[in-house]
This record gives sequence, C-alpha cells and structure tokens, in this order.
Amino acid sequence: MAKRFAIFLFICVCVSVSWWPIFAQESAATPTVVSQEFDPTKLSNLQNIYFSLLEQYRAQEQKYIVAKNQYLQLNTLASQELAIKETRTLLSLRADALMVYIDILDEQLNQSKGIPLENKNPERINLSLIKEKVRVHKTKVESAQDRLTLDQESENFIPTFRELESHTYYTLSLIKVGYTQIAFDKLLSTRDAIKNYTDQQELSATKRSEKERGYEEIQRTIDSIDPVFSPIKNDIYTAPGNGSLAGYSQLSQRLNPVYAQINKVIQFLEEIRK
Amino acid sequence: MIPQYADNQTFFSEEEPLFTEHQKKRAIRPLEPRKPNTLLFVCIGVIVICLVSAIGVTLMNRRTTTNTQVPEDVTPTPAVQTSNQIDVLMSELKAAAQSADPTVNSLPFPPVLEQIKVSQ
Repeated sequence: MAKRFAIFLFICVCVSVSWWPIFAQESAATPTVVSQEFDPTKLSNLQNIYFSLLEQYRAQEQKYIVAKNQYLQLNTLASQELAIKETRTLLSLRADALMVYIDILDEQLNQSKGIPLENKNPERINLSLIKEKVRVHKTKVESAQDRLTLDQESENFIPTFRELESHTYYTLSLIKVGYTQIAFDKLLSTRDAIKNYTDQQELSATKRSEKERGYEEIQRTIDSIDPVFSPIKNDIYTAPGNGSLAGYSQLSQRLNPVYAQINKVIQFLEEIRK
Repeated sequence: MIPQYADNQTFFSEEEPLFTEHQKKRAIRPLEPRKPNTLLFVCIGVIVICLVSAIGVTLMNRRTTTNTQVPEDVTPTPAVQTSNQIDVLMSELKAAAQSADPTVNSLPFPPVLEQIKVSQ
C-alpha cells in the first residue's frame, strides 16, 4: 500500500514537473520588464525628505560647532554634557540623511533602464548592506551616553562612510552610463521613425537624395559613437563598486564626446524633418 | 507436538502449524489487508500537482524577471504616420539626451562631516 502510494506520488510530481517548460515558454514569450511600472512620486517624496533632513542637519551642525568649541574652551562638565547632546543629535541626523540618500540612489538605479541587471542588482544589494550599517551606527549613537563611547562610535563609522562614498560614485557612474545608453537607444528608434515618415512623404528626386545623404551622415555619426562608448561601459561594468569623485569626474570627461555626437545627430534629425 | 508424516522428512514449523487444530489461539488478531482509498489518493495527487506546479510557476517567473530586462526600445517602432508623433518622439529624445548630460550631477554626495566627535 505504501509502495503503491509512493509510486503514485512520484508520478504526480513527474507530471507536474513536465509542465514547467510550458510555464517557461509562456514567461519567455511575454518578457515583461517588471521594473517598468515605477511610482512617479516615490523619488520626489524621497528627495523632499532628503532636502528637509539636510536643512535640519545644517542647523544642527552649527549648534554642534558652538557646543564643541564651548566645551573645548571651558572644559566643564556642563559644557561637556551639552556637547555630547549636540554631537549625538548631529550624528543621528547625519545617519538619517545618509539613509535617505541611499534610498534615492537605489530608486534612481532601479528606475534606470539602460543598465544591465547583472550590474544593477549587485550594486543595489551593496547599497542596502551599507544602509544597514548606517542604521546600526545610528542605533549605537542614540544609546551612547558618554563622550568616549560617542567618539569611538564616530571613529568606527569612518570606514563605512568612505565605503558609502565609493559606492555612491560608482552608482552615479552607472546611472550616468545608463542615461547615455537610453539616449543612444532612443536616438536609433527616433531616426528609424523619422526615416519611415520621410519615406512616406512625396518628395522630389532632389529633395529625396538630399535626405538620403543626410541619413548617411547620420549613420556615420551614429557609427562613430559606439567605439567611444563601448570601452567606457566596459570599464564601468567590470569595476563594480570601485568609485571615487576623481573617477566620476573622469567618466564625465570621457562621456562628453559621446554626448556631443548624440546632440549632433539630434540636430541632423531636426534638419532632415524640415 | 510436531506432527510427523509418512516420509519422515516433512516438517512444519511449530510456529506455523499447518493444521488448524494445531494452531494456537493468537493474542493479537492479524491485520486485515487495507482497502486502497482511491478518493484519498486522488485528493493527495491533486494537491501535490498544484503545489509542484505553483513552485514551477514561481521559479520560472523569478528567472524571467532577474535574467531579463528588455531595453526600452526593443520593440521596433511602428511606422509613424503623423508629424505630431514625430514631435513627441523628438521631445522624448531631447529629454533623454538632457538626462545624459555628463556635466550635470543631480545627486551629489551629501554635504556632511566625515568626522563628528565631542573631543578633538
């Protein structure tokens, strides 16, 4: 009886698993981009919260500086208590601002369609891990009561702060490359659409050959973009998490010619339309 | 008592006497063979098929979403019929190009102090 039941179960499982390729085909036939439906207000809400926190941080920073200088000058217990209080508040606000900033970075990265998932997803994971470290830091800061503990926790946070800086500039690099990719893809589809449109128009032979030469020039310009853009993408995609302000500035300089060529093609397309 | 037979070679185990009159009354009644419960089998089979199918659908969907990201313009742009549609496409293209401006950084790193201490 047990044997018969086991055989029956095995047959059921085999039958069910045999349907999986059908499910896979259905999924593959309709490749929906899950991340296309973004909440348009989420990013602007986050930005509003971020700017509000930054304002609070700046105000608190002034109080912190005053309290700290007072403590360093007077060196009394009362001034020390005040300095501890203001330092704790400032550390907490800094943590809040950093966490919201990470959320903004993450959301921008998520919404950018020009970045391959194999580059986007690991970076999103890295950002969430850093955010967790910041959250833990905030918890420790808020429970710290004395000067030494507070200073120690502040010192311990510096590596995480630098790690966040590095990942910030890498994420910003990814986002910038993603936007450039989107612009390039859009350029190709818009060029095709305009070409279809002009092909439908009734034009004189002279006009038509003029437009054909225009399209040839556009094609040459488009062809010149990829040899410059591909190495840039390759450098960014093969150096995950390795970001810095200097690196980001360098990326901007390297992308300038690509951006210039894209604008040139846009200008050509405007002319061809006339 | 073990029964003896004419050939003097046939023995039956005392534990399993052949003749009923030699069988001892057993304390435990032997188990009756269970009748297969067809309805139970069918119910369990349906549940198993549904569970395994659900797992399969979840796995296939997850594989699709994590491994595929369709670029924005993977579908061929249909032949544009009107000038207005061209205008819309050009506006979108210019907006996309503006976002790609490498000289603009809309998300600078937060202007916060790296070191915040009570003491020096």
